Amino acid sequence: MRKLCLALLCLAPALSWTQNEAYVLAKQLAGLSSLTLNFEHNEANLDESSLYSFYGAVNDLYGATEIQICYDEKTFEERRNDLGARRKQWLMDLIRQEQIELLSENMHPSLPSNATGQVALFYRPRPDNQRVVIIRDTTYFSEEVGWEFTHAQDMMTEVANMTKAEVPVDIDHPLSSSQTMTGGFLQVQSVFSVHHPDRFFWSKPVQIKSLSANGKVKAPLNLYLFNPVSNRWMKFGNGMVSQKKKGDHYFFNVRLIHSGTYAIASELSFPKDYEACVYSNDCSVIQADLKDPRMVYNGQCIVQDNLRVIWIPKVKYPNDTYIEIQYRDKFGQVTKDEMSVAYLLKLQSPSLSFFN
Amino acid sequence: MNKKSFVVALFVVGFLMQVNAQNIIQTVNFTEIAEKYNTLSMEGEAMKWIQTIRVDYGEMKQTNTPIDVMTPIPNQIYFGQPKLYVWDPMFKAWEKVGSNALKQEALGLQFFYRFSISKPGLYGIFNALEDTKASLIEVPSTIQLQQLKLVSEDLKVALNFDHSVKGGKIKVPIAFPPAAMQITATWLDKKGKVCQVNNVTLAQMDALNQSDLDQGKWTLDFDTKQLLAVSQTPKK
Repeated sequence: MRKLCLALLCLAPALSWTQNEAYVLAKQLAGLSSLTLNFEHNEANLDESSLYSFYGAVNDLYGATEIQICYDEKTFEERRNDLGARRKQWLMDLIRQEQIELLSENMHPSLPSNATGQVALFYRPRPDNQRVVIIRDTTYFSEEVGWEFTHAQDMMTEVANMTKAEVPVDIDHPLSSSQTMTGGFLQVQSVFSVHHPDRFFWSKPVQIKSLSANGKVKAPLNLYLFNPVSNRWMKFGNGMVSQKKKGDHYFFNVRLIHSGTYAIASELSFPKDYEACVYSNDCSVIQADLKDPRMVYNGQCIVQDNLRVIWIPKVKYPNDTYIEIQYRDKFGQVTKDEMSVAYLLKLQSPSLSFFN
Repeated sequence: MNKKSFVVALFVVGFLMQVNAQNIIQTVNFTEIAEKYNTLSMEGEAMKWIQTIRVDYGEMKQTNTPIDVMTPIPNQIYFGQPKLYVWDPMFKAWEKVGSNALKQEALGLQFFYRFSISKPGLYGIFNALEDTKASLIEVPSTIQLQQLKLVSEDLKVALNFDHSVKGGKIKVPIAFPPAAMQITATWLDKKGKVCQVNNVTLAQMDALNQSDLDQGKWTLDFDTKQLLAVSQTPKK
């Protein structure tokens, strides 16, 4: 009995210190989201349920700040079959593979008093509204959330929590078309492309702020998503894009949940009719594109009647709007020609009335 | 076997299955379709080619499990409703597969055609031609047409007529063919001499001069609703 009391007296400071540290850690990590992980019995990998939990939270972990890892010291000290070292390696590989940044100073060889399991990950999820930084004409990469952002037009755009990376300007999505699926033309204010490297849909929306180059836009603005199959824009969502003033600048605010090329734009008058134009009877029109230096009346014309007739939307085109025609001539050669829309319309004569 | 090795093994099996699937299904381009087949339906209508795949089980045992095929939709504005067809080697035309066999699906921003195949063959996705009227090519009694091929690489239409015709008419299921549609034809003139034109465009044939005509080539007249084929054999 006396020996037992002596042993308890000797162990008391150590127990008290451990409890104290666990309590301090719990206090330090209070308010953070946690994830409990356990290893498979006698194996170096995580058990199935822990793996599911990890991947269930991986989206939050990408954008998270203050990631801290706490572990039961014994877990990584198991010398039998070098199990401890292998477990540590396995877990670190998993974290590295998912591109989650973890600082060595944030690794704690003890568990907080309120934690269970062998390993506990603590993190602060990314808030929805974050500080923004202005970017211009450069590809940016967010190390925190892992997205690549390509700015397509010479317009200022702000993106939440983006940091500059050593990536050259890469205009992947130039504004080749400003036509909507229904044939109308768009007055585009901003075009940008957001791609998640691993997945198409994101579990949480990202807020994008785009600086208006033209101050406050009076026309109602909508968000459009580019459809690469038809080379046209689809209206995305029902709500209009809001404009907010901050200092002397106006910003457009949009929230996105999946990868794609987007435009903030207002729709100009919808063409009620089309003009049937024949370029030449001696060639087949392969493609006809409207080109506008202001990038408003841009888009691919519909070519029908067995590649003989170009259908041009009936709208008031500025004088310098032109049409680029790619055609196969009577010798089978593919050639390009450019002419103003006004001239092509003038070329039409009653002798071609059999097409109507 | 631990979990990691098991996952690696699963990937290897998946890769091997992928390799097998690639051997079973092969895409066939329009050039091959225009050369060896056509784009005519069993009803004699001309169609626009979109995609073709050949399904061949080879030495593998054919199973009853249908193969699910997903093929990317090319970037283009489409009108009408594309349909799935299978090549009938007997009738040398494409037969429609069911009424609702072809589905369109999106994975992200990539759009796919999706359909199921339960037997080997040549499968094609075609769209109806906007122009459903037909024309006639008159073959004069003085010549014997042996083969006529009309191909438009841009419109993706290929019409092959390989039966011998003398003094008759050939129905072409297209009223105003593209001006750059290419014609390949072989015929026998009055004396049995073989005459041939290769990949000559319709617009080019319109502009044939007298010398060309005297050499036994054809002229095609667009002024009427018929495509007239007139043999201009040298006069003695």
